[in-house]
Amino acid sequence: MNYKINLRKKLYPLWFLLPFLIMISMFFGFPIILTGVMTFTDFDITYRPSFVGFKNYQKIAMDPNFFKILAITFTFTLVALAIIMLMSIVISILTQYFVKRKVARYAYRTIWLSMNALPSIIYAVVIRGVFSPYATSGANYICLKLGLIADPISWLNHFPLVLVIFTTGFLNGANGIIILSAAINSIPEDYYKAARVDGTTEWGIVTQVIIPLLKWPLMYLTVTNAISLISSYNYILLLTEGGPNLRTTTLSLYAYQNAFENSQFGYGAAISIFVVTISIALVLVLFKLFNFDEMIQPCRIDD
Amino acid sequence: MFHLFYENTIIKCKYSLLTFLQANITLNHCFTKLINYNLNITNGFSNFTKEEEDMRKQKEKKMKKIILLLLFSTVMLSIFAGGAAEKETSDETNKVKTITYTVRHDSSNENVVSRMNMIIDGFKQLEKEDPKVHFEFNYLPKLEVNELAMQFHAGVEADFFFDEETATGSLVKGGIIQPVDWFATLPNVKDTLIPNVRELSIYDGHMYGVPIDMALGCLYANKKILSKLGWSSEEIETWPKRVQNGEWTFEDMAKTCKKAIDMGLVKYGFMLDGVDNAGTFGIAKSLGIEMYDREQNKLIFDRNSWLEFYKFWEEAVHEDMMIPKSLPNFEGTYNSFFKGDTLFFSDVSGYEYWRRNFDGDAEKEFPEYYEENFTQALIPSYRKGEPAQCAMKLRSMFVFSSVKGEKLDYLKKALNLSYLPENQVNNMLTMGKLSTIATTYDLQEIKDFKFASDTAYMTDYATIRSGHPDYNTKYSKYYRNQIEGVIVDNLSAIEAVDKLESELRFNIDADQIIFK
Repeated sequence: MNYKINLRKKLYPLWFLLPFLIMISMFFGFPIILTGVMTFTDFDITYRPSFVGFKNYQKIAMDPNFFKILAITFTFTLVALAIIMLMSIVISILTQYFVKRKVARYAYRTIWLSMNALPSIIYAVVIRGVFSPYATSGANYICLKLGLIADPISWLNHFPLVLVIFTTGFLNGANGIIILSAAINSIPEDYYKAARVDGTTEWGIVTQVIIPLLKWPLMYLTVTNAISLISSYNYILLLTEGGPNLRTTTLSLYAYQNAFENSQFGYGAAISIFVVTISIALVLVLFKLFNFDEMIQPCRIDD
Repeated sequence: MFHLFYENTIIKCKYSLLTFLQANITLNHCFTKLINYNLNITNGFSNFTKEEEDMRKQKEKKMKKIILLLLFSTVMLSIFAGGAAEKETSDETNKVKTITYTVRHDSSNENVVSRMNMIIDGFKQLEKEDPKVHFEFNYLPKLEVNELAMQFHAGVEADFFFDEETATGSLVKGGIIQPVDWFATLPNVKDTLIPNVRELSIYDGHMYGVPIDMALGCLYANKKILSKLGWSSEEIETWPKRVQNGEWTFEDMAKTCKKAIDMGLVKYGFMLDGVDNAGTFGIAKSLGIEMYDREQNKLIFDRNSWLEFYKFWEEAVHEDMMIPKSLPNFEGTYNSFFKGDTLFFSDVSGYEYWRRNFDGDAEKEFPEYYEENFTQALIPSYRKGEPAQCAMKLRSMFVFSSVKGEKLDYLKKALNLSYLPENQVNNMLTMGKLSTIATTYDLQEIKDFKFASDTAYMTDYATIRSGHPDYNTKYSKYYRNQIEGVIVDNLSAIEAVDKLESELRFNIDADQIIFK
């Protein structure tokens, strides 16, 4: 009887988790398995797939555009990530540490959070307008007036990757600002007082008190943003559609185009599995950089 | 896939659910009584004798059985009622047969609505001829080819939809559409369908799309700028004819553009609507590039022709400066011509676009304004004496492969009536699209529609993009990528051709393309 009671006790949590496990299986697990199976087929518009083995993976290696797109993916991810993290840290420290009044802090947080309220298409339209090739467009007008350029520039043709990276980085920084702001606000004042008593400057407080204490949220933001950037292409699609001439095409966009524009679902699925593999590898590298193993060690001081 | 199952189930259970809910209210009453009865037992009336207790329990069991039986009956009746609901509708219409066509339809697109109205006019006339039949239309959202294929294979049925000619091969490959060779034999069509349209509608030996209307990719010119360049009225008037005869070529166009730019009359010599459209196809055809072998149903890559094509872009953008370097992401290409910043413009929807966006009375004032300021011709040939070309976008109606029997018969009859010239007029006048029926152009209203009557001759020079499944998704994308490469990345013509060839060899199956 005892073992039955113990088993029942152990199964109780599973009953509560069951609805969510079913949902996750249906909407995540099952599609992932299906995608994996699809990579071994020549699934196309006929919806009559046949098994082709590793042909799709071989095709990735032989694709003439593959290495160019891989380089663009890494450039996009790493530079946009750097912009997001730098922006998040700088703005959250400036607004939450250096600004003393609570009302002002709330106001800054609200302004940055409100950036997330508008849909991406609005920002894309604004960016396309500001950087359009006309002499009267925002960017060209300012540069011509300042004498930086002699003729209007077609920004989306000449600097497409730069524009896409800055747009993505700038507009995705808001989430990081909110999380880091909350983390900074939770640092006890005593730490700052103790640092000042020791003669630390404000810059020293930022680098030696605040940033080390933000290690967990920084790691969380870095990892989640890295995964998100590798798989996202919404601003790329809205601004340049991956062009001109694949100059802003990332692997995830390439997977989408192969699957849904070229009707090569098997090949698109294989590329998306490759994207997942890269994401996992990148996450492991980031864990190593942040010394994740050390961070999760139990505290050596007894409570 | 889950959302398709959901959609189907909900549609089928619609009536069942309503009936079930109504019955449920009655059942709730019974349940409440049962619960109250039990509560009374447990709250105080527990001093029953053994016999009374047994009787109570028997009554309780009986009540539960009755309620369960009622519940089961209600569910079964609801299901049958839901199924019968549609039959009741047809019974109610007093022996008039109702045939419902399900159409994949983009109701936000004026062009599609206009086409659908043209088809509906045919059905209305059919109803007058045969009062015992009534037609209804059920609209589903228009989908891209891939999603259409998914829903089709998942069993979400529809009857017809409208799309471009480039979708034909993919739709045939997916088994989604059926041949419509019968269309060319319809009484009102067989002698009046424009021969070139009939020819161009054939894919892999069959006609798969009913050609609804077409738009021609011609070359527009600004008459006022031409006269400032020193062209006489006669030269401007005869310009379309000189292009048609192969006397006025791309070389002449390049010289004219250069002169206009040097004189400061325009910012740009020649503009297209980006590199993503039939305009680049028109240029490719005028350079003599063959991309598709109709007989073998295979794509063609002719290296020498493509080398010439990319040399043209090299010269036009970087040497003659005829085409702006900002073309790939240029916003407002149509307006740049209409407002006088560009001398020549090539696109399929020019006239129609400007008419819809005209600041003024589009019907009364625009035709006169257009006549005064602009003119149009075929896409000039690349070499003197060679024929000029015109790219055509042919909008067709595709019939799903599941449509059979009576439904298909009535559809044929309705189309026959839709293709009477008087039923074609509205679509032409409203949307600026051209009819595929030759006799439409004999009607006075169309003769008065000057643009249509002036451009009707171009259909004989028209050619359409291939319907091969690998053309739209791969071939056209790759060659247009290399145009961007030449313009933006300063690729040489040879580099562009090499890149194009390697992409075609990699992505298109060897048995689907011929390399020359």
